[in-house]
Amino acid sequence: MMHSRLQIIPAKLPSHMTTVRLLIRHPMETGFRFDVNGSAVSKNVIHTLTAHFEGKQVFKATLGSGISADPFLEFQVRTPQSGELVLQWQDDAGETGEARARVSLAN
Amino acid sequence: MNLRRRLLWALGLGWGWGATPALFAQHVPQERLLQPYVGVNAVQKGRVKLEIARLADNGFNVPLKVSVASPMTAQDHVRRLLLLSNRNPRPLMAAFEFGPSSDQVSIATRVRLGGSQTVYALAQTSDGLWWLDSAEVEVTESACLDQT
Repeated sequence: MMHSRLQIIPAKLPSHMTTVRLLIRHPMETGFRFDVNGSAVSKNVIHTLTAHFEGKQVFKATLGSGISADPFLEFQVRTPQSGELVLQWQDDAGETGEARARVSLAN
Repeated sequence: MNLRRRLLWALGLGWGWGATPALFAQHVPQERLLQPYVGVNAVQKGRVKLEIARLADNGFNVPLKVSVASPMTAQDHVRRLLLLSNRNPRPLMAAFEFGPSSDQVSIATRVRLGGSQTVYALAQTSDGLWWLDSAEVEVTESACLDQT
């Protein structure tokens, strides 16, 4: 399980827009780097990240080696009602991560 | 310099050229950069807004913000948003997909840049049209320190 931090900025009426900020601890190895022994460090990046709200996919990101180590991502999701937001991601090594948050409408 | 020495010099230069392409990294022209994604379709300026600092001290971690003006309805929404670099060894830095259920399209992230270059934000709306915004960035320290 990868370490991550998730921040939810509650939806404002009437737009019902929730801001999601996600920071994941991950080296995002480009595959172009060499270690001290001169052998190539194999590429390992978080390649896919999805966001589901109440079981429905609302956002998908395909990331590459052009994204910084410890990737940060901020995006918006429409949340017409309160519910659960689930973020899931996977890296090239097959490791997966998940972050969940309860989104409740601020009035 | 005698002939043998000259030949060795030339050989050395040739080897250097092949082994360190980063030093001579070419900026990919815009048409060639966008072609794999848009194909023969026309790309228009507008709707997309890319916010990125003109000067980046460190190419390892360059914050940027992209927003696309769209009503985000079932008929008219942003389908995809691509972040492209014309100098990185892999031009496609990130791709984002949205559904009509997302509201306004606004993304913030941090990218790696392998030297001073132009960064492109390319968006496709549900009607199939492509929209583009670009920004030039001076990078003091490249994120590519190896032979890439």
